[in-house]
Amino acid sequence: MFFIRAREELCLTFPLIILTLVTIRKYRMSENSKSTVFQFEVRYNHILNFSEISRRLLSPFVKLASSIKVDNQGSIEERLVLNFDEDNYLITVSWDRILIKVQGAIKNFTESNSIIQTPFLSILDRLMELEGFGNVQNILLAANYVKKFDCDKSKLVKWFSERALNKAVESVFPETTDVAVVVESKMKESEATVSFGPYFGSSELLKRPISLVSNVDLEDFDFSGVMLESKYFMKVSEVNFSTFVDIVKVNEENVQRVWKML
Amino acid sequence: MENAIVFKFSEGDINHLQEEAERTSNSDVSKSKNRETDSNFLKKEVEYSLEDSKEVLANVFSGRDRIYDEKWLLSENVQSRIVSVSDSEVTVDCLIDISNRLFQHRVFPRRLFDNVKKLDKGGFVLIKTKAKPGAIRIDVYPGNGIVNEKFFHLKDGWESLENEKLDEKLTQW
Repeated sequence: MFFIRAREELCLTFPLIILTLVTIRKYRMSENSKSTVFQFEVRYNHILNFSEISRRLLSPFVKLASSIKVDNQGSIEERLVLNFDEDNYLITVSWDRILIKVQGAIKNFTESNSIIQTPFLSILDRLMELEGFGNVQNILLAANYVKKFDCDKSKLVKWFSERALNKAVESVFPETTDVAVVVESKMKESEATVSFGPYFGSSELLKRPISLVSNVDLEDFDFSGVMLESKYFMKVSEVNFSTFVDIVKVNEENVQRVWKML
Repeated sequence: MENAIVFKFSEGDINHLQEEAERTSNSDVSKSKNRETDSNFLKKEVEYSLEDSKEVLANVFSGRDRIYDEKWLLSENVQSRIVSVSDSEVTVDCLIDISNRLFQHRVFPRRLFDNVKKLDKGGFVLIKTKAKPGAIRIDVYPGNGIVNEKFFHLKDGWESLENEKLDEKLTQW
């Protein structure tokens, strides 16, 4: 990216190399990446009587939801899914974790009074007030991003390979049709993973482990470029809104480092 | 990147995410199933025991009017306490910043609160606002069980001044 910008500035000074700039622009990535969907999970000690108390606990929140689903009803692993179709998110509560899956730009949800605070953390607060609640164990943030890249789809893999892989890897197959890079970092209290590769259009979003909540915005993502999936796992003993804001910040930094590299 | 990325996460993360993906993609199928069974009440009784919540839950949401596919730029869920109620308007303390305990005094038309059965001073409501250029939408929900009442108990250290005689009349001036 720095190289591209440098050439642009040079071009302003020396119009004679405009032709070079045109060539570079052809492979230019858009400045902003879009996060398509993200999932934030809080895991805690198993609540053995969850199926007995879950409905009473969640009933006040049902009026906010557009539908509700009960899985493994009556069993120790009962799971309730509150769907908020109108706002493109869902909350799943079970005996060992609570998670929220949201479609939209993750940064918007770090603002005060976002759905992360109410109802997600409000439900968690009610869970934590239970007599049978042990401790929060860890949290996980997983997010998908896509970034537009103005290049012919047929040349996308080659472009990506040249940027992210060395020549030995490129030559494994005479004709490479898809590639991806997975980078992991495992520390004592946290783990981070970023996976990225060419993105061929919105249909790819439907096949990823973190699926979309709805197909409403699908046309907004119908372009080719680079797709990135990031995960950040952290051991914690308590969770509040600041924890979410912090983990999003760390995650965004990881993502930005990848975009810079490309 | 189709089928090319392999996650190596511990703690059963991927299985869990895959399950979520399947459930989301199958949600339309389950809704249509519910609609089919609604038409045959007798059959319904045979199929589901009294403990089964499937049909009950399906009916809970059947009467709601909603506009889907509407894109809003800003969405907030504000926990609030009713300060006063008049014939035409309701005044509430809106907790606009939970972390810093910042409140804003806001006045809304009374009609917005018609769905709140106990509209008393001191009662709690959740005010959901969504906005986009040229439009705003406000939904009001009864706050019982959703609003955390502790957020509205603002002592903030004033109790430490108790018995300091600060509330006594000054007589020595």
